[in-house]
Amino acid sequence: MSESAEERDLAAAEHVLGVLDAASSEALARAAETDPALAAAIAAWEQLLAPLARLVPPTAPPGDLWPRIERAAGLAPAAARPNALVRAWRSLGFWRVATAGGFALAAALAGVIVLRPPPRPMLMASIMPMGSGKPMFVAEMRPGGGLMVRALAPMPVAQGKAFELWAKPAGARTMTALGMVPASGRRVRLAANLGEGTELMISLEPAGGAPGGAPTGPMLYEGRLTRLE
Amino acid sequence: MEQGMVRRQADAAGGNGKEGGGALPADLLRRIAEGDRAAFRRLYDLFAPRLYGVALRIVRERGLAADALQDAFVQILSRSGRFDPARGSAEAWLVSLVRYRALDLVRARRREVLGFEPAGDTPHDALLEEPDALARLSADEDGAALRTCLETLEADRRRLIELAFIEGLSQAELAARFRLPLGTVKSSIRRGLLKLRECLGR
Repeated sequence: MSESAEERDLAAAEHVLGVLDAASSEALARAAETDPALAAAIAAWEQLLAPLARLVPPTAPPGDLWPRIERAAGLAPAAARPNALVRAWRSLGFWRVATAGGFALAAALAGVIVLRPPPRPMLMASIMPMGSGKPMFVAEMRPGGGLMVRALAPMPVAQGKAFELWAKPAGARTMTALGMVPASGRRVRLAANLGEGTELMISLEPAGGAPGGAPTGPMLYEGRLTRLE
Repeated sequence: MEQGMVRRQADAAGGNGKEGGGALPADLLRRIAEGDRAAFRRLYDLFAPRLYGVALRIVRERGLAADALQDAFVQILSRSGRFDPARGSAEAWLVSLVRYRALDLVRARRREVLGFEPAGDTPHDALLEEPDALARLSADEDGAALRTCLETLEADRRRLIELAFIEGLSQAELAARFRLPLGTVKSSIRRGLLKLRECLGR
């Protein structure tokens, strides 16, 4: 190791050990953000020294710590939304109340369409939590058939549970199972040929899907296939 | 190589790989990155007591230790996607996040409260000789190797390194504690770290 590499490695070790003063430690951590060799040296020392933490006996944390973490991380359950809002949202139509993100998405998709016009108008749905909120899934009916569905952000789902997508075509009285949709960014293509105005709903089901062909878990998200002008 | 990684992750779950209901901490971090809240809770249940213990040793105050853990867990949630199991154990990743946060808090506190001194009357040094503590340290290959290498160090150097890590003491605080010149503490720690690095084949 060259002298400067040696010096850098020792500084990384002192940083991990925690013996540097606050200013030096902070400067080193900041330097590591743009210096991969330094970042690697820090990571290696973290690995090497971490077992020392086991010398400390485990101690039960205060009982209110988990709820505090949930609140600080924004995971605490949101208060129920008033029904008036739900009704207003439903009466307003889809894009007008879409969030800024929804507008950006619409604009981006519109851009795509201008460049490569599909054979017939594309149908899209932004699937949101029941009673409004921001779009969680997006579904597009492909001109050649097939419904593409994707979660816009990784979604929390309990172990052994999964999301199942249901369709209720305009005027229909019952829902049809379309298939399971992944809780993370992967897109799935589901065999379906749905028309404008079809309601799409996502329920929480056992990992393999609702056993009887009808939803068994809570309906969490909903949207409606709308013509993308 | 792959087997060694699996073993290390299993050990990190609870020292014997039997805890965790089949969910290794590295898997939990992957699931947390995918938005799985149950995995986040599971990780908390598995690690909070150990991480709280680590934070408490450094900050010496229950409220401050809880603050450190709260901040660290919020960071765990937002940074879980950056954890790469190929680059190391989940345990080391978690311990590091908590220690840095605890060190930040205790340094800030020392600046705020002139003369703030972590309680120095507890026999921390005894911890380093405790059979239980040493057994925990040796719970997996990495820990066992580290213990073997620590034992090749001169007793004073070993103690400086262990106390620095566990108590979060700065060089100046260690110098005061051991009544040694600052330069001696600094070079002693550096020589000890070099020897550890060599012994562990890095």
